[in-house]
Amino acid sequence: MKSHLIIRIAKSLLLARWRQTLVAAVGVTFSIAMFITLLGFMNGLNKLLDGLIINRIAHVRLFKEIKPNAHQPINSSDRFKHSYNFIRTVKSESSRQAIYNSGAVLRALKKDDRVSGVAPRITAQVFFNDGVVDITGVINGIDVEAESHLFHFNEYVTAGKPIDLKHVSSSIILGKGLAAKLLANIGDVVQVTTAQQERFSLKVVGYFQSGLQEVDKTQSFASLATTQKILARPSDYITDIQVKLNDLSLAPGVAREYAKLFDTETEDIQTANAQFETGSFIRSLISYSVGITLLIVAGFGIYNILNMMIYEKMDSIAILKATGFSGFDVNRIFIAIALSIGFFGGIVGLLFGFLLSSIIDQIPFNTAALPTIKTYPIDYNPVFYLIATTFSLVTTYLAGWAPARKASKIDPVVIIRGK
Amino acid sequence: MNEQTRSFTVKAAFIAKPETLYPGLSVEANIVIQSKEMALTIPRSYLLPDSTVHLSKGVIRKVKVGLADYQKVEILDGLNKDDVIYKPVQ
Repeated sequence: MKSHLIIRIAKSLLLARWRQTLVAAVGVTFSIAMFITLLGFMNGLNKLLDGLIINRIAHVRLFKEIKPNAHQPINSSDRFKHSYNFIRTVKSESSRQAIYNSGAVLRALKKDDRVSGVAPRITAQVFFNDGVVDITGVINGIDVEAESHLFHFNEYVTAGKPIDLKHVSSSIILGKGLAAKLLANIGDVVQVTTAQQERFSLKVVGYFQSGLQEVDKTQSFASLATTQKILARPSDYITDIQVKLNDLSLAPGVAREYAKLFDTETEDIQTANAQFETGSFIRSLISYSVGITLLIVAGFGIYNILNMMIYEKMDSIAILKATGFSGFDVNRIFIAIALSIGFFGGIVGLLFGFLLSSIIDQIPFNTAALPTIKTYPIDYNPVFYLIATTFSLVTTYLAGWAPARKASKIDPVVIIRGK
Repeated sequence: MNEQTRSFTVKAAFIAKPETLYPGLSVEANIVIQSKEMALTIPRSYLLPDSTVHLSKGVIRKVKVGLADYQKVEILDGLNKDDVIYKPVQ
């Protein structure tokens, strides 16, 4: 009954000065709307940029590196074991770049329940022959289905069908930049020369556009079998195994384990791409701090208006107190005023924020670097809406707290005698 | 010598033939071109610029160095095995 009365008093106080109330509420609405839009836009952008790199990179990569053997043979010979050997012009141990026993490694990886997918890969350095000019490039031998499934390969093929790599023999998908250099259209045949001076003709079945110009200028894709044929290698020749895990955070541990188990070099995503996580983190931090600053500014607006209201309503408060309302009740009235401004302003703010986000989401955003993106990216994460609501209530409560305390301490006798 | 790759082809034969040989095997070998008994070596980090070493009380002595890699240096002349040398401060 009492709280009902308090709410009614608060309401009439709010409506008596509806213009001021509106200004305070608009402040909250504006800041909440901006907070939602800013975070949604920033996070959408973050996800896009992370996706650009992280979606295409394996969580763990198994490969074999050419390097000199740390254990030189002379150090294990009986005669020279105990002497110090100065070894000159050490050569790398063998030219074999393939992963040993790749078939068995692949089978073992597929059985591991931490692994969500495996994609074998071959990298071949070649020259693309264009008349008298040779352009250096890389042919990546891939398993099209696994790559599409794990690394969204199909999304980056802007022309042609990725699966043609598998169905058309001796076919290739060129990077967009490379295709432009070679003046190769889909259906054309390009000539490649390997490091061993073998020449091959490959049919262009599509274009690939990754969004990274440097990559598009040099990279191209062919099926595993085609690449093995170009390099004149058997069908178990694989230079890279890309592993995608169910849980990304396990990558460093799993990488170390596989290095020992399969006796290869491994690299995990955290080590290889630490800077992306840092970049995302900094961007989120900036957008959160801007959003929260907006809310605090709105909070000061509410504080001002409530303060004004108390000075104007000094008499009413004195009368309320004289008729038996305690200081605590008066405090509650003003807190209720502040919170209702925060609540209604916040709700409308959420609506406007959502609207503004959806408008941004419709703005066309076409860039050559990002073939799959058509409009500005927005992240409609409900967490942002939750944070915004909580924060609007908290700031308005804090803004109302000091004026409410002041109102509750008013001595009615002093006020009434003063008149 | 192959002029292009600046490498030699070395023919080698087994002294004791292994029981089984697999296709595609490769071998790695070091060729011993010199061995020396009772050579004196010091760690590379103890060698100062200009082939000098730091003896006690700030005495710098010039030495004659022979073979060297990143770990050790052979001393041909200027030190004997009873000398005490100091590691230079980084």
